[in-house]
Amino acid sequence: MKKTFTLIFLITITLSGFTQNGIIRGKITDAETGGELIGASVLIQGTYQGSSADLDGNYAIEPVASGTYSLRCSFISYETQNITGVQLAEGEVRVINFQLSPSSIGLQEVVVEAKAIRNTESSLLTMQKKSASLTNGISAQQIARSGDSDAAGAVKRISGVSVEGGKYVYVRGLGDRYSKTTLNGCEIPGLDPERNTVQMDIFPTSAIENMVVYKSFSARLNPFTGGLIDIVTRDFPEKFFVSFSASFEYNTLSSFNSDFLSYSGGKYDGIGFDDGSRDFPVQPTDIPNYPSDRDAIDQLTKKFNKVMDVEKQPSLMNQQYSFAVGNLTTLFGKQFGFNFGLNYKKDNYYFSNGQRGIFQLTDPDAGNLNTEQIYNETAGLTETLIGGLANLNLKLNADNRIGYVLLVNHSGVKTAYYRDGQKPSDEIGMYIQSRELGFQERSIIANQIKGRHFFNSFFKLGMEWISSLTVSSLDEPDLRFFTNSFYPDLNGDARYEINPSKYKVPSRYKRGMRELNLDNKVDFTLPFQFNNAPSKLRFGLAFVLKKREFTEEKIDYLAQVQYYNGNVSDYLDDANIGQNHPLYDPLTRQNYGLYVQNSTDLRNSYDAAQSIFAAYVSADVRLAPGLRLEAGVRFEKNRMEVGSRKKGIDKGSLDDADFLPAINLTYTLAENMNLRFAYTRTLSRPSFREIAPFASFSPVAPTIVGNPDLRRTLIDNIDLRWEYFMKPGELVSFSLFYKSFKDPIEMVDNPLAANPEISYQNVDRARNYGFEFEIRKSLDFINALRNLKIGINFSYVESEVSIDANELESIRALVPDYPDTRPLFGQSPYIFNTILGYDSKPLGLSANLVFNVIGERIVLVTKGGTPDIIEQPFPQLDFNIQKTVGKHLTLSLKAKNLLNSAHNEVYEFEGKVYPYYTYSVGQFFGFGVSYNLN
Amino acid sequence: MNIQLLTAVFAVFTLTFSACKKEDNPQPQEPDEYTIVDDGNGTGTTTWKSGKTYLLEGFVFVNEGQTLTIEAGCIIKGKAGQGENASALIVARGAKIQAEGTKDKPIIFTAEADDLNGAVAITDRGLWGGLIVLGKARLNSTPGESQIEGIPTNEARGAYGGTNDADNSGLIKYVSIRHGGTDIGDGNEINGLTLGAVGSATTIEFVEVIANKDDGVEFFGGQPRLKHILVAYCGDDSFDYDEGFRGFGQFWCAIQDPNEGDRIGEHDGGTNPETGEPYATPTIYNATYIGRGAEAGKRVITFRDNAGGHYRNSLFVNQARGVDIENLQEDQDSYRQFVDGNLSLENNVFWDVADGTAEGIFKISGAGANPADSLAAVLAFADYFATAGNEVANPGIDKENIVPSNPQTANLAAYGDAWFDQVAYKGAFGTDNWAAGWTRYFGNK
Repeated sequence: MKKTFTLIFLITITLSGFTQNGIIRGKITDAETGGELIGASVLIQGTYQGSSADLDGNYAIEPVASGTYSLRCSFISYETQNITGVQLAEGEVRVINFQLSPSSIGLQEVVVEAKAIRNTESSLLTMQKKSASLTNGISAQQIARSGDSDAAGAVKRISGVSVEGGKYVYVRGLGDRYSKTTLNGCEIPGLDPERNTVQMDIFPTSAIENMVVYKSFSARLNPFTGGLIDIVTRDFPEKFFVSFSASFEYNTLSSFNSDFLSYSGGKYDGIGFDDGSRDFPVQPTDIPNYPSDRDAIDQLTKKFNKVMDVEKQPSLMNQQYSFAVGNLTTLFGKQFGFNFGLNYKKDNYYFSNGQRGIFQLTDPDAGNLNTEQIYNETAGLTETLIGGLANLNLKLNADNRIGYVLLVNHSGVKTAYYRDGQKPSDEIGMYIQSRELGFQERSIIANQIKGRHFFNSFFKLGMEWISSLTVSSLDEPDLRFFTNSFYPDLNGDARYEINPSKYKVPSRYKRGMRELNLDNKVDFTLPFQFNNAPSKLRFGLAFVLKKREFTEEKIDYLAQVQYYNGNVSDYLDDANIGQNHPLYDPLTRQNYGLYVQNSTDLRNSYDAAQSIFAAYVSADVRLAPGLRLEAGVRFEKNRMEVGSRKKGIDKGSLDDADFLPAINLTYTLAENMNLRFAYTRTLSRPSFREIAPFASFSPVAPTIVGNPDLRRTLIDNIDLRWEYFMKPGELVSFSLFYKSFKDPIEMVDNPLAANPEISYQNVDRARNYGFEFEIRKSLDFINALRNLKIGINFSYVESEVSIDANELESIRALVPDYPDTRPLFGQSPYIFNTILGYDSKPLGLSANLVFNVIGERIVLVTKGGTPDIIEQPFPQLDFNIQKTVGKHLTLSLKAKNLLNSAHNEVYEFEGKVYPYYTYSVGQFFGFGVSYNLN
Repeated sequence: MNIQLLTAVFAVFTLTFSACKKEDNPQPQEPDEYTIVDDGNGTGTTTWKSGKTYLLEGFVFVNEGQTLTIEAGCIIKGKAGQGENASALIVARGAKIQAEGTKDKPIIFTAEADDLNGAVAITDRGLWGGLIVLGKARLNSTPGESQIEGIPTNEARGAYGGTNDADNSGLIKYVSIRHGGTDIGDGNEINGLTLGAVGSATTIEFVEVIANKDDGVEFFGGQPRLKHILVAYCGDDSFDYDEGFRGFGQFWCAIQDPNEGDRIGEHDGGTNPETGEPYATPTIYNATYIGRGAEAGKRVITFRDNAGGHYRNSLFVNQARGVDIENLQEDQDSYRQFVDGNLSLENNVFWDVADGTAEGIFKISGAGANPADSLAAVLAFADYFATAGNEVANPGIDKENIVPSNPQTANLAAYGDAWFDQVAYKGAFGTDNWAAGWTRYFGNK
C-alpha cells in the first residue's frame, strides 16, 4: 500500500513538470575515447543561459522558453563545437549530445559547426568504436525498434550472440560456462541451480539503458572467456515516460489445447505460487522404518497427496502484461531519476512429439546402435513470471550521485511429463510408463546501491562503487515420479507391474535452495596526460561472497506385495496401503501393502560458500597518434567449498590465486576504422552444483552427479579485429581469434558406473580458433530500399580436445580408427545471425526478419565407442512488425520459429540418427499493444 | 590404531565408563551387540564373535589388506534405510572374509528388525543392503575395472576387476543372507550376494539368500566356484551374471515367490562392449530351479548380450516361459555362442515349463540378421533340445518338497572338472535336503 502511494506521489511530481518551459540536455564526450568530459560547458548563444557537464558528462539547461537556439560547447584543450537550429517546443525536453575532439593545433580556437539531429541508435556504435576493448552492444533505441520485451530477445541482435531456450546466452558458440551476465557490472545468481549464469528473460527492456557484450577481457571486468554481457540500467531517463503493454501469443501446440498436460495442483498455481497443499505431511526422517511400526507407517502413508498421475487440462494463450513509468525530475532540490517496471508473464509449452533414448554401440561390426531404452514424451509446462524493478537515482551535485536498484522476480514453473516406451536392454516385450509432476518456485531479490563521485580538486579522480546483495531461492515442494511397466498380451489385455529392479519405485522429492550473493566493488579512474594525450589509470577492488544451501528430502513408495493393476489412483488408494491390503496376512505378516519410507540421501544436501577477492590496475594510454593501449592485470583469489551434509564425503574445494593479464591495443587506421589486438588470460570456475556431490535423478535420462575434484579452467585468448564504421549505425568488422584452454570442464558419461550416470570432468587441454564477420548496413544507397537495413554476423570456430588416453582406449576397442581429438564440449563450429530491418518514420512502421542458427555441438561425451551426443542446428526464423498509431499507441505482430524447427539432441552413427532427446515446441504468433506516453 | 570400529552398547546398560578400569573390573562383561560404522578405515583385521550381534550402519568395508573373520553363530544385522542410507558389508578388492558357519550354527546376515523369531515376514524384502565381495579376477568390460552397482561411484573401495582369475577373497560357508536388497535408486538395488570379479581360490558353499529385493546371487565377471546355494523368494532374478562370469556352480537351488520375482537365471555376456572378452562361459551342474507358475509370465533363463554358459543335469520346473537366447542383427551374440559351443544345455529335465514342447521351451529372442536367419535359429535351437539330451519329465518336486519323489538318475552328462561332485542324479538334491536346518527357508527362524 505504501508503495502505491509513493508511486502516485512520483507520478504527480512528474506531471507537474509539464507546465514548465522546455529543457535542453545531453551528454558531452571525448570523440576519440568516448569518455565523458566532466566540466565541459554548454551555452545558449546570445544568452547567459548555460550549464556544465557533471560527473557523467551530462548537462542540462532549464528552463528554456520555446524557440530556436544555437548551442556552443567548449572545454579546455578540446575543439569547440557549435550546433545550430535546435528547435524547442513548449514543455519539450530536447536531447543534444556533443562529441569533442582534442585540439591538436596550438591555442588557435577551432569551432566545429553542426546541425542538430535527433538522437539515434548510433550512440552505442559510437561507444563500440571508442571502447578500448572488443565490444558489441544494443541500445534502448534498438531494443525499442526490434520490439523485444525482455533482455533475452534483445541480446540476440548482438553480433556473435545466441540465446538458448529464450533464456541463456551463448557468445561465439561458447556455452554459458564461458559467458557471464552482469547487472551494472555485478553478478546476479540465476534462477536455475544447474546453470552458471542468470537467465536473460527476467530483465524488462524498459529498464535497460543498454546491453554491452564484451568479447575481450579487460582487467576491470569479471573474468570471462566467451563474452560478458553487462546489462546497464536506465538511471536517469531523459524525460518522463509511462508505458503499458499487453501481448498475447498463440502457440501452435500449447494454446487452446484440450489435451494440454497438467495435473491437479494448488489453488494459486496460476500466479506461480504453491498454496501449501504440496507440503509433505511428515518429515521423511520421522517415518518409522518398516517393519518396526506398521500402524504408524499405514497412517502416514495415507496422508500423502494421492495425485501422481498426469491429467489433461485445456489451456489458453500465452500472455504478458507490463507497466513502466519513469522520469527525470527533482527531489529535495536535486536531480532525481527514477523508473519502475512491473511485469507479468505466463507461458505454456506443450509437445507430444518428444523422444528420449539411450543407445549404445555394442559391437563394432553391427552397423547400428543398440537400443537400450526409448521413450515417447508428452510434456506440459506452464511458467508464470512476476517481476518488478525499481531504479532510483539522485544527483547530489554535479560531482556526486547515488542510486538504488531493486530487482524482484518470482517464477512458478509447473511441469507434467508422461513418457511411455521400452527398455529392450532389460527385457524385450516390456513397456514402461512414467509420469513426472513438478512445481518449482524460484525467486530473486537483488538490491544494488551504487554511487559515482568525481573529486575535481583531488587529481580529478573519479570513483564508482556498487554493493549488490542478492537473495535467491528455489523451492520444489513435491516432485513426483511414478513409473510402472506392463506386458501386453495377444488378447489386448496387459499384465501390469511395478518392478524396482528395472526402474525407480514411485517416489517424491522435496528440494529447497537458498542463496546469498554479495558483490562489492569500487573502481577508480585517474586521468593523466601521456604523450600529450588524455590518458586514464584505472584501479579497483572487488569482493564477492556467495553462500548456498541446498537440501533434498525424498520418500519412496514400497510394497511387500505386487498388485499394480495399471491405475495410479487405485495403487495409492487407502484400501491398498499396508495392513489394509487384501492380501495382507496378519498371522504371517506376509504381503504387507503399499507404504512410504524415508529415502533421503543426505549426500545430496550440501552447503556451499565462495569468496573472491579481486584487485586490478590498468592504464589506457595513447602510445602514438592513433595507437591506443589498454594494459592491465587483475588478481583474483578464490576460495570455494562445497560440503555434503553426509559425513565422510569429500568436500569439493577450490583455492586458487591467479594473475590475469589483459592487453588491448587499438590502432586507428582512419577516422572511422580501427585495427584491434588483444591478448588476455581468463579463467572459468566450476559452479557449486558441479563440485557438489549432488546427484539429480531422472526416470528416463542418466543421473547427473557433481565432481568434487574439478579444477578451474585457465584460458589464453588472442583476438585480432578490423572494424570500419561507415557512418552512424553502420559497421563492418572482421575478427580472428584463438583460445587455448587448460583443464576445460566437460559433461561426461561415467564409464565406471553400473547405471547411466553423467558427471563433470576436466580434460587436459583444448583449443579454439576461428573468425567472426559482421556487417550492419543501411540499404539507402538504393532509393527504393532506403528504409531497409541489413545486419549479418557469422562466426566460424574450429575446436579441438585431445581425448583422454583411457577414454581413447575404450573407444578404440570398438572403433579402432577413431581420431584422437574431437570438438570441445558445447562448442558450435559456426554461428550465423542475420536481421533484415525495415523502418519508416513517416509511416510509423517498422519490421524485422531475424534468422539465427548455430552449428551442431557436443552436449554429452559418451563412454566407449558409442558416439557422443550432439545437438543439431536449430535454425530459427522470427518476424515482427510494429505500427505506431497516433502519438502513443503501438500495435505489433510477432511470429517466432516460423521454420518450426525442432530441438534435437541425437547420436549420429553411420549416417543414421538416434534420438537422445528430441522435441519441438511449435510456432508462436503474437499480437501486442502498447501505450507510451512521453 | 588400525582397527577403527566404533562400538556402542545397546543390550548392556550396566557397563559404565568408570567401570571399565581394568583394576576395578578384571572381567568386564562384553556387550552382546556392537554397532559398526565405517569411517573410511574399514573393519580392520578382526574377528566377529559367535553369539554376538553386529549391527552394520551404512556401508561397511573390509579394506584392502584386511581380513574379517566371522565365527559360526555370529549374527550380522543391517540397519534399515533406503538409498545411500542402506547398510551393507563389502569385502573390497584385496581384502578377505573368513565366514565359516556350521550346519548347527550358521552365520546369519539379516535386517535390524529381525528378531529371528518371526518379527519379519519370510517374504519381506529390501530391509537392508547385502553382502558384496569384490576381487581381482578378469572382467570383459573396458577398461577392465568397474564400480560395483549399489555403491556410489565416488567410493574408490567399490572398484573391482583385475587380471588374477585365481584370486582368493576368503571363505563363505553356512551363511544365510535374509531380507536384503535395499533400493538405492534408479532401479538399482543391492543383491543378496554380489560377487564382483571374485577369483577361483575363494570358497563359497552352503549359502542361502532369501527374500532379497533384487537378485539372489549376482556375478560380475571372475571365476568364483559355488556349491550348495539356495536362493528363495527374491524380488528380481535368482541367479544373474554379467561382464564375463566364467566360474563353476553345482547344487544351485532357486525357488521363486509366486507373487514376486523375474527370471530365475538372467545371464548376460558383456556390457561395454557386449562382445568383450573373455566371454561369459560358466559351467553349472545340478541346478534345481522352481518358478512362479504359468500365471506370472516369467522366464527360466535368458541368455543375451553375448553370454554363453553351460547347464547340465539340472531340473527346471513350474515357469510360464523356458530358456531364450538372443539372436541379434550382429555377428556376435548369445546365439553365436550357442553355435560356437560356448552355450549349452545338456541332459536337463523340464516340467511345467512353457507349453512342454521343445520349441516352446527353447526360444530365440531378437530379430536376427534377417527373417531367414531368425527362422533357422528358431528351428536349430528347438532341434537342439532333444539332441542335447534334454527331456520333459516330472521329477516330483515343488517349492515345499525339494527332494524329488521321482529322482532323475538316468541319462546323465559327464562331470568335467574334478571340482564337481560326481553325483548320479539330476538337480540340486539327491535323497536328503542339505538346506534343512540352517536356512530360513527350511525351518531356521
